[in-house]
Amino acid sequence: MEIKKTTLNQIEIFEISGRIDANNANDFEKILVQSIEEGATKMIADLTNLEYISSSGLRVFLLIAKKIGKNGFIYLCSLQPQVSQIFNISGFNNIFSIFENREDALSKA
Amino acid sequence: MENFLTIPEEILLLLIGENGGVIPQDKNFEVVLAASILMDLAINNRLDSDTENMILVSNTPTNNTVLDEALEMIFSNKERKEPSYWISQLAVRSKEFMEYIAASLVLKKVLKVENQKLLWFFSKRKYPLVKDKEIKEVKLRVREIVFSNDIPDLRDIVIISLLHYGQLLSLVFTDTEINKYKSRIEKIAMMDLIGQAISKSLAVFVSTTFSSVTKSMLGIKSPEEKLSLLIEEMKEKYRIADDKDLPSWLIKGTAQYQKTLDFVIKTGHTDIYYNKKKDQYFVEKSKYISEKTFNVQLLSYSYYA
Repeated sequence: MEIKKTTLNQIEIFEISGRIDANNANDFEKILVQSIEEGATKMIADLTNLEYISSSGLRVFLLIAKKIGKNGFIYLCSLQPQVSQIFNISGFNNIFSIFENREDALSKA
Repeated sequence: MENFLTIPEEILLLLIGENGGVIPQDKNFEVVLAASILMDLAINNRLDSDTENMILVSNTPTNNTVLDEALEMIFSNKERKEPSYWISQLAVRSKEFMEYIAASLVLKKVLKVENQKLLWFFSKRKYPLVKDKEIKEVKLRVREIVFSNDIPDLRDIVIISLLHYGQLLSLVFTDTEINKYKSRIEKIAMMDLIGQAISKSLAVFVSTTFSSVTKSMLGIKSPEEKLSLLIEEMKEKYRIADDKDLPSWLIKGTAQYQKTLDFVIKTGHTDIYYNKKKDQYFVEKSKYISEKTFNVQLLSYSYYA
């Protein structure tokens, strides 16, 4: 897993590539939680290059959504079909705002 | 934050609380308990899952007897990845696990133990609540999350998933509430992948109608025939296809099987289970002794006297 973070108009954009599973879910969580603790309330996770996500990875998104709560948002965009399927099966598509691409996510932010 | 109770403890507590302090003999409960063990291991980062498989992450002990026993079983057979297989294997040992869970709840001063004498030689063990703080807390937490639109915690997802797929929602909700919040409950129940995989298997087990050994035992049979009936029932009940997946004490031709048979001969019936850690056989004490069962047991005792 690799994460590249950029900031645009106070929105933190995380480009996540590779796999998120039990081996690296803790690291992933730490990075996102640290951003929240530093004051981030608006986040976009760009999943263009995310190939695989397990239950452990989904839990991190759940935790982050809970931590941000109503004070901000975490939008997801550019999900690959196999990742999108997992979000649909778990019903996470009902919790998260999911966009086709980063531009759409930014326009709603 | 460390949770005071494990998921299996919370589930057993809900059931015991509803059942007047008696460990339920409900057929669903054995598989719900097994599923709750897997789910707790997942929450504690020992297992992970995707849409197809259960993934073994770490066998670092949790320092909980039941969870660590399960962890040892799972890691000793890394080839089996289907949650349904592990539900059946853990469910076979559910009576043994229930003892440990109840004992743990007693140690945590949530339950106390009462032994009641029935007739002149049967006893029934009860576990009344010491205080209802914990059970109220579990119910309140689950109810609040279902009645709100908040994003649930992982632990709440797991409990709701177990109650939903194990057909145990009535422990926490009224029928009206279940109907009113059906959609919300279903949405929460599906939120965790391991919960979903486990719960699908759970639904299969729960919907199964089990045969009754007791009925078959009404005709007098030899100890070996009785034990064979128990094995057949276990295979059907826990969806065990291969004899090698039976618990070791029921695999024919082994020294342990002979010990089991000796115990059946000694006690006269097959309402028994084997506690691997203690290396001891037990007769199910906590069962209500119905007139029919009592007569069967008397028949058995007189037959082998």
